[in-house]
This record gives sequence, C-alpha cells and structure tokens, in this order.
Amino acid sequence: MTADTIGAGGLALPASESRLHKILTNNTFWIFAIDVLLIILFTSISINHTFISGTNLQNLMSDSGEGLLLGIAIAFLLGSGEFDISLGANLILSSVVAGLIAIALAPFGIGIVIIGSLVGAIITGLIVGLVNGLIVTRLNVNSLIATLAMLGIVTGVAYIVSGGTDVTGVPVALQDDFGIKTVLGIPLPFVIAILAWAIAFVALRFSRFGLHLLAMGSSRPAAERAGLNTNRKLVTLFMIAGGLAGIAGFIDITRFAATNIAGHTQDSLSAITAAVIGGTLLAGGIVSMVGLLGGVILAVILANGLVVIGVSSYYQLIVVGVILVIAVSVDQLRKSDSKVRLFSK
Amino acid sequence: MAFRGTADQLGIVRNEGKNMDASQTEVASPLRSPSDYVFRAEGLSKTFGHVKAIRDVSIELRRGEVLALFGDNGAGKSTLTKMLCGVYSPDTGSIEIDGQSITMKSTRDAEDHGITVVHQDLALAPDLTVLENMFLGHEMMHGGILKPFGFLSRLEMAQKTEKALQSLSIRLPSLSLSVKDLSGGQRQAVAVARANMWSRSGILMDEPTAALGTIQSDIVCQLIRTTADAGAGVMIISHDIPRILDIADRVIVLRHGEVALDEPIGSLTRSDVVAAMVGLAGHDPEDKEDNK
Repeated sequence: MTADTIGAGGLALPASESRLHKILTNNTFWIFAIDVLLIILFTSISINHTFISGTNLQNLMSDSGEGLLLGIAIAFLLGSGEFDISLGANLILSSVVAGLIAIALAPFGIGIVIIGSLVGAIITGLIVGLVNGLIVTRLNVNSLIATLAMLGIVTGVAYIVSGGTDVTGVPVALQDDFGIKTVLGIPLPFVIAILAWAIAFVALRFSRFGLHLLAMGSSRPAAERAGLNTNRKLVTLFMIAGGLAGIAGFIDITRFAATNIAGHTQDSLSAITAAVIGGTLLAGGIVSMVGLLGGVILAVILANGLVVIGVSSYYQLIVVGVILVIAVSVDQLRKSDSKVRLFSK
Repeated sequence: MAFRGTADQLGIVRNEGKNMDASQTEVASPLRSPSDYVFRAEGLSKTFGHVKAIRDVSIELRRGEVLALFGDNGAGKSTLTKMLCGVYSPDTGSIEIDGQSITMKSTRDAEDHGITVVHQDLALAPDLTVLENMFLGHEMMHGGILKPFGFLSRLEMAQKTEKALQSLSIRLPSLSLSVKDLSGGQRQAVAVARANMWSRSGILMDEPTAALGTIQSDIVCQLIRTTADAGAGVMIISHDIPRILDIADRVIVLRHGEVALDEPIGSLTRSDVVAAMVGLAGHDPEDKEDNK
C-alpha cells in the first residue's frame, strides 16, 4: 500500500450521501417545516384568518425581537461550550437602568432619552457579562453555576435599584418613537433583532471570530494548543451576550413603557430551547443560526396562535418542551453512526 | 516491509511548497552546521518533587532524519518531549536552535522556533473541517476593506491546504469534511500535515500509531518517512518498536530519565532496543556510571 491510498479507505461518511438525505436529517429543515405547518393550521382555524392578518404578523415580529437577541447570545455561548442562564436577569436589570435613565433624561427630549437609555442598558449588560466571564475564566467556576449565581445576584440588584417595584412613568414618546414604531410595516425592535442576527450569522460563518468560537466549543484543548487565548475570548463572548441582553432590555422597556421584573426569569431557558431545537449543540462546536431563527419563531407562533384560536397559551410550554425532547433525541440518533447504519440495514 | 529510502524511491512528491530553502532539504553532511539541526539540547534535567524525571540528557534532532525515542513507562520520554516543545522548562541544561540558546514557555514559542508537535490525542477540533483545523490559529484573512472584520480567505486557505496535503501524498475526499467524520488514520494524517505545514524544521510526535490499526499505522509511518525525506526532522515517541524501527534513522532509548542508548539505526534490532529499555548488560546508564 502506498501513501497515495491514505484517505481512500475507512471514511465513515457515505461518499454518496444525497442532498435530500442531508435535508431530511437536518433539524433546521424540520423546525421550519413545523413553523409553516403551524402557520397554516392557525390561519385555517382562526376566525377570519386573523392569525395571518397584518396586525397579528406585526405582533409576531414584535414578540420575536427580544427572544431572538437572547437566542443569538446563547447560541454564541453554547457554540463555545458555555452557558449563560443569567441572560433574563441581565435583561431585567438593563431595562430597569434604561427606564430610570429615560425618566431622568425626559426633560432633554426624546433623542437624548433614546440614546441615554440605550447606552445605559448596553453598558449594564456588558458589565454583567464581564462579571460572568471573569467568574468563569479567573475563578474557574463552571459557567452553569456561575451564571446561576449571577441570575440571583442580578435579579436582586434589579429589585434594589428599582425599589422593589416595576419602573413606571417612562416617557411615552419612547414607546411611540421606538418600541412600537414600524419601518415599512415592520416593528423597529424586530428590525434591530434581525440586523443583529444577520451580523451574528456572517460573523459566525465567515470570520475568524466565528471559527475560534466554534473551535473552543469543539475542543478547548485543541483551541489552546493552537495558540488561542481562550480565556480572553470567553470573556469577550460573555460580554457580547451581556450586551445583547442589554439591547433586549432596552427594547423591552420601549415596547411597554414599564419594566416587567417578574416576567423574564425564564427567558434564558427559552433562548436555550430555541437554539437547541434549531440544531445548536449543548456540548458546543456546532451552531445553527438559521435553526435558531426557526426555534424562536416556533415559540412565538405557538404562544400567539393558541391565543388567537382561543386555547390557553400555557399549552405552548408543553408543545415546545415535547418538540425540544424530540429534536434532541433525533439529533443524538443521527450522530450515532452505528445506530444509523443499523437502521439503514 | 521497510520504508527507509528516498522520497523518489517511494514515488512521493517532495515538499516543494513548504517554507524551507533548498539547503534544508539536502542530506546532512558529516560536518554539520547549526542549521543542520532542528535543535540541540545539552544537559537537560527535570525534577518533580523528589522524582528526578530527566537527568542530564543531551539530545539533538537533525533535519531530514527520523529519530525514535523509546523507553518504558516512566522512563522520561514525555517529560523530555514536553521540555523540547515548551510545555516544561528544564531545571538545568540548554536548548539551542540555529546556534542560539533559546527559552520556550509554550508550544507556541516552540512553533515560533520552527518546531511543531503532534499530540497523542492529535489536538484537532472534531466539529471543524479539515481546512479549518489545518489553519486554526494561523488563519488567512481577506485584505482591503474587509481586513478589519477578520473575514477568512477560505479559497486561499484551501489552495495552501491542498498543496500541503499533496506534498505528503495525502488524499482526502474533501477539505470541507468535519474531522469527526474521518477515520483514525485520516485524522492522524491531517495532524501530521498540519504540523508539517507550520513547522519550519522539526516535528515532535507522541505515539503516532497508538490508536491505529495495522494498515493505518503502516500508512502513517510511511507518511512520517515522507515528511522527513522532504527535509523536516521528526522525533517520534512510541512503544511500537518494530514499526518505528523500520522508518527511523537513529534511536535513543531512555531509562530512568537517562540516555541508555543513542545510536544510528545501522544493525540495531528490536532486541537491542528492549535490552536498553530494561537495562540489560551494557545498556544501563547506572552500569556505565559504575564502570567509570
């Protein structure tokens, strides 16, 4: 046998794997297929097809914005092999800070209010992300534990800063000029979220940043031996996630002109669910940004559609949970070569 | 089955695309200049607590040679290798590259001095493609207005990877396959090709055949021989004595942290190596000390 033959034998992947087979075994395809089926179902059942009406489509987009931003944050962290379950708390604190700044800057006009509260929310998010990153990298605390601790700490700080109640009295102009404003019929918060998603997609797919992120999640030792400064990159990733949570917090207060401290405690878990349903691996190394979009849309369609057809939105939690289990199980089955071969025989 | 021979005899393309000059690919002459060596280490010692892992070891790796480093478990092979690639700093002794005494604090330092390492676990990211693994930490970027954004120049990287694989006669179905979808032999080939691509002079390999079957081990050994024939010095730590003896030019055996045998392959047999490893007559460093 000559060296020429290396690579000719022993390749586990079938060389002739068809495009159709790839599509059918792809989580992203199935999530979007379910999304489309649900849209058809809810449109058919809803009175006067109100589910597909322009107003309801705007509602769907508005409801997707914050979830998508947190989804991007968690997809980046999961891709690098880390968790952040404090994102919801970070969103709450950022919205509280943004609300208080908006109230304080109200006399200076809406332009200053928007800029001031947005910057305040982003800085708050970045600081929380920085603390998360430092705890994980400097104190070597598992990110699940570190961010679990920060979930409590940040929520507590939010309550202290807000005086134990939701922040109200935020200038209504903030709502009119940002939170419920539309651009070509599309809600501005959703435009921002989609823009962030597009940037994240390009960064992950085409840049060195994305490659290093996935390398860290795929094999931390391999990334370190390749000379990557993994600690510094992880801190940066936690800060990016925090910054995205800050923007989500700003959007939250601009949509409702008040904070909702008790309403976002499950947001991190919802974001993780959306990412994993879409094909992002919990173990790291693989991120599907398109799948994330499908996962976020799925949760929003279910929550909205069930209400539109007169069913309690609580069922949405059950359906999303079941889909999560199925998605992860099918993914695990697909990854097990021996099992796939067994079935193919 | 003997792999020893020139690249031409094996029908293998020389590594023309590699970043080394013609003088580096020539067969070493008896009068060696500093540039004929990948490294020369003198009097290396390393102690962990009360354990003297390495005692006054001198070792050199020449360009174009395959140096086999044998020894029983605990003989000090890994410790020595880690000192030579910057993972450990020696307590005493010096390491010289290109005639200059150098200090290495990490494998990246070793890489900067032209020495790359193929770890036993290969240090590949399984979810990344062959192309991405080949360039991890050495990515090529687009220039111009895209430069600040750090966009990868995948086309350029693919061309260089194809050239690097071709120079070692490695054929893979696709550069866009994930490493986890490759066989064990193919992964090892990718790891060797990556080390060869970023090495200017030498590659240290830790148990390159440990996780492979017979046929794949033979292929990887041939690949190692090809790499050395193309001009790089290759040091192999292994327990696979017969197979490595087939491709080695020189053998060093460590016993209790000291050099028990350092000889050109000549007529060395597996028995000679084993005798040195277990300290039979004439091969135990402690015996030599006593005789003095």
